[in-house]
Amino acid sequence: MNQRRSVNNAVRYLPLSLACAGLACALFAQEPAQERVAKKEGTAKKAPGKQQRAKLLFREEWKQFPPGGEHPMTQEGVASPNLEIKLYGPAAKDIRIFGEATDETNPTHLWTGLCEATCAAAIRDKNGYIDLSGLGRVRWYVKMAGFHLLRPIVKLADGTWLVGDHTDGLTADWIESEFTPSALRWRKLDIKAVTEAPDGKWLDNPDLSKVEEFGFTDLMRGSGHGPGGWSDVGWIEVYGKSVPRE
Amino acid sequence: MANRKFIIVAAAAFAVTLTFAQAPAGEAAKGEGGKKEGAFKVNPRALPQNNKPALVLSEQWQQIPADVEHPVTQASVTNPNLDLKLYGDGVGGTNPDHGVWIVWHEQPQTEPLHLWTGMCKSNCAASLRDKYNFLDLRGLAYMRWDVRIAGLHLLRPIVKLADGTWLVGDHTDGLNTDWHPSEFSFADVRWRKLDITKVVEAADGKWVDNPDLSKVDEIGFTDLMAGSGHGPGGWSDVGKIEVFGKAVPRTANAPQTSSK
Repeated sequence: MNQRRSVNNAVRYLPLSLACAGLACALFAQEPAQERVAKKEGTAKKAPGKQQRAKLLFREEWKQFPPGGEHPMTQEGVASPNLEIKLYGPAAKDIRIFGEATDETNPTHLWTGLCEATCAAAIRDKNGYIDLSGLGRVRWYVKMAGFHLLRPIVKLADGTWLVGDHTDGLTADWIESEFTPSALRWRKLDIKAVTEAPDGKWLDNPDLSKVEEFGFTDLMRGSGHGPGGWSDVGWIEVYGKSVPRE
Repeated sequence: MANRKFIIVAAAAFAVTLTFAQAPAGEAAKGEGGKKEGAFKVNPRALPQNNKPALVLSEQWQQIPADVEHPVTQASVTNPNLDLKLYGDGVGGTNPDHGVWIVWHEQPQTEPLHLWTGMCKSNCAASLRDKYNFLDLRGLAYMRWDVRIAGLHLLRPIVKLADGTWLVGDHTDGLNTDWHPSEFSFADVRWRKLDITKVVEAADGKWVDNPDLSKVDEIGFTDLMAGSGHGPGGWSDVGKIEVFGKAVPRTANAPQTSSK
């Protein structure tokens, strides 16, 4: 009785089993077939996930200079001879350099706490534009106070300034933070006032293959001394490619 | 084979009976003894909402003189029991244009009458003060405001306590294309001290956990940023403001609920 039922079931489900097996074979057969054709025609491509990460282009750690301690930032505070510092906004002169390279709780850094209005800082590579497209990325060492939110800014080769929607906010200690500029959403920046530009539009997928300057702002004024509200920016690492200026 | 079918049918019938038996179980209790105490468990979610705080402050603004925009003044406040207070670059002016402005666009109207921080050359704030009452914003007290925010600005509530301490909250309203009402409970907000002169976070850099909100002297807003001027760059628009809580008379003979 049981034997006959088993045989009946096997006969009944045989077509369905065959159909499933056929479908599975067809699905698994797709990729190798396409790859074979691509190889044959010389059009084989790396899978999208295999894109290479960008290499370190430069790292700026800042350099304390006389009188030391806390004082206005100038070009003297830039450690790399290939980089220029640019300070912007109505309170550009208020950006300070502070700390010591040997002090792990207070490393050499730029500080916006004394900015009486908005301020921003950027670095320019004398050797060429920075290609931050694709998997270009930025890593910075920051400490934030209050409700201030640190954001990246870029100046494109055509002179357009952008401010990104990546933010680093309140931290109790220094932290490393990393982001991919091409993954951000950008708005135009009025670099004179260091506020959002009046057009009020998002710039989706701007061309980051030729970045003239890269920097930061929190779009806010500082609260002065004490841990009120400001941005501390220690070393900055930029991973990308150098593109010669025409 | 027949036995197996019987078991399946019996199991299905049992399951159906069990399912339908659930609801009538409660009903049956009703039938047995009418209102049997303890027959129903009280569903806490079904509590009447009469424990919600009352509206204690409301302001919708008015445009005097009736132009499109100008620096906001006390004349812009409709409620005679409310004082408007402006801080930082909030006290506005023209030539050069700066400060908090009041804006009203003619028909077709796409936005309500509102305060606008776009002209603030540096940080600015605005608040309202009930002349006769403090506001008790403890418990389930909440705020509702009609807002539209441009750019990367973040609108935050501010309060002045009875002892003069200013606080700025971590509740934020950010970029939106159109006007939206936004509501939040004060109990959910974490606060920091505010330097009201500069309209920046106070230098102590500490969170003020569980501040005493039983006597709030002023309530308002700031985005802690400078405005980007005309155009949809970066600023805060604040229309109608409503505060729900309790009124606490400043003096014995003050009206209980004056500013709604």
